Amino acid sequence: MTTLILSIVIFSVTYAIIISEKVHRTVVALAGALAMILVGVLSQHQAVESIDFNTLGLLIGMMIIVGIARDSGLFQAVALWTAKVAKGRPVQIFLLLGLIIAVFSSLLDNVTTVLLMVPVIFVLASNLKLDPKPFLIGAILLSNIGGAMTLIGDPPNILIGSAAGITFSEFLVHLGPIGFVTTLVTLGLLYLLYRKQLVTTPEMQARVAAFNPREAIVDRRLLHKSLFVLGLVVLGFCFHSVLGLEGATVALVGAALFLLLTIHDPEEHLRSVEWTTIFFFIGLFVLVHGLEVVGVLDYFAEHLAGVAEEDPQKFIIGLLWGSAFFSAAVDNIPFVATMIPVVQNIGEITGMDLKPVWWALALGADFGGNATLVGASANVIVSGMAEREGHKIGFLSYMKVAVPLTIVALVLATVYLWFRYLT
Amino acid sequence: MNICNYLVRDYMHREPKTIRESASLDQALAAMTAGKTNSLIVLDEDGDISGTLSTWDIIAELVPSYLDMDDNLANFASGDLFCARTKRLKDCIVKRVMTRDVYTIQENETLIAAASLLVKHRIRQIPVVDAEDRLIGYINRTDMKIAMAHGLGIEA
Repeated sequence: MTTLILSIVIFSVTYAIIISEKVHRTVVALAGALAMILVGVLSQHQAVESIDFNTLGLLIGMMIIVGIARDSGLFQAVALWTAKVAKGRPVQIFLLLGLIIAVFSSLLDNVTTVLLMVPVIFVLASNLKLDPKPFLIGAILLSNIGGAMTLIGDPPNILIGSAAGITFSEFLVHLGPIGFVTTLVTLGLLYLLYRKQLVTTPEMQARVAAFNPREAIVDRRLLHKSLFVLGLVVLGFCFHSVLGLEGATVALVGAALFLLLTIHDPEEHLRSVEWTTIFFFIGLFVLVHGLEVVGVLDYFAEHLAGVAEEDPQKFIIGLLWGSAFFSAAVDNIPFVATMIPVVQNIGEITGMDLKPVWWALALGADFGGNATLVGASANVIVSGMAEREGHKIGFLSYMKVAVPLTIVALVLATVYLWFRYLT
Repeated sequence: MNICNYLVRDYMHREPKTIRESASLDQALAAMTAGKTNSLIVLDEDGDISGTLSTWDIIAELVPSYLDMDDNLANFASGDLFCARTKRLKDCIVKRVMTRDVYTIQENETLIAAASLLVKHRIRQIPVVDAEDRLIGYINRTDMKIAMAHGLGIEA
């Protein structure tokens, strides 16, 4: 009984401090995780067992690969290439760049995507004498939507894929179509909203049309190696279940191969691993397991299992919207990490097919993050960069655009889930 | 001067070039241009040293932060960006861009102490203060050059 109360108290206090953002989330999560061990909720052995090394390996491997590849200038060159293809016409640039951001984000982490794309947006907007805000808001929305399409696109998907043993290609087949449709619809609505702002003069258009994207390439040999390794890794992901390899193995093989090919000092490249994120995940895994062993999550699962058995459709659609609501208000990673054991439990109790449940959880968490400026890490990064450049995006003015578009995305997801899995 | 004991007071300047931390960067640039210097000592409202301002600090403010995140992106920046960013310097105050870590020296200290401060912190100028930490002058790398030339008997 005491461990039950201790576990609930440690978990709630830790999550409350994470949400309040008063202390760095990594420090809080680690402290909470260690408290679970010190008060005896978890043994040291149980704590280590609860850490999902497949998620960590996948994150670390991708961070190394992208950290090296970004130095080649590849991603910037592709983004600038859109300006050339669009012949400098703002509307076409806006739409093409949005598509590129969604595609990049499905392969890279959302934060990495916006860190690479926002500087390009500022350069293009200043050349075209346009307000960068429509582009910045588009970058936030499309990075989160694009991230939903694949196993590696967004941390909640990595967590879900790893815990439920869902392969990369399964993710792509099931979430790719809805991600793609939502990307197109969102871009269309953004176009209707901003088309009057997306006008420039012929001279400025000509200036941008004359861009030579090759000039963005920093290191041609590194570019070739990057394309080779990225191609191989994507292939590896597509066939990882056939090859009998975990996602982490594919990502780490890619990282090791890339390090071999570049032969630089590994210390420099290993610095691109965001250790704060990795340790945050470690803390979360232990915390959630602490709540799991005392039976709190079973308790929730039993209640939800009742709903799921009675009306699976209502349960899945409710999970989609509920998960979106939570993810809009708070960081979606802790939420999904807690929901995973609950969903697994519901599966054991009801024996239902869990796949649609996982899709609903992932779509809700990924799309829901778009609704507010604090809903996802990419949003926070973009608004910080915008403010530094004197283009502050207001919290409410962002929501005025983002909330309706998030609702549209969730309605699309509801329709998709309904017709593909629930009828 | 047979004993080679060079002190800060032998080579320092006694008219420090200063600016208030509340001044705008265009005022700072005016002071630098008029004083033919790349470095000013920043004083707070009480007249105490609160930082230093070099031309570097202003250049760093001029370049948008998004351009120093990527190596080659500046090649695509529009030509009028320099002018537009320069105009914005008027809205920025010294306090925001100044270097806050100030290393000072007293006039009775040795030149080698001053020289090692310059090297250690990769700075070009050191404010000289009295025992109460009040600013009385400055010494810079040009002064070091003159002192080294003297040491070698090189005539100006």
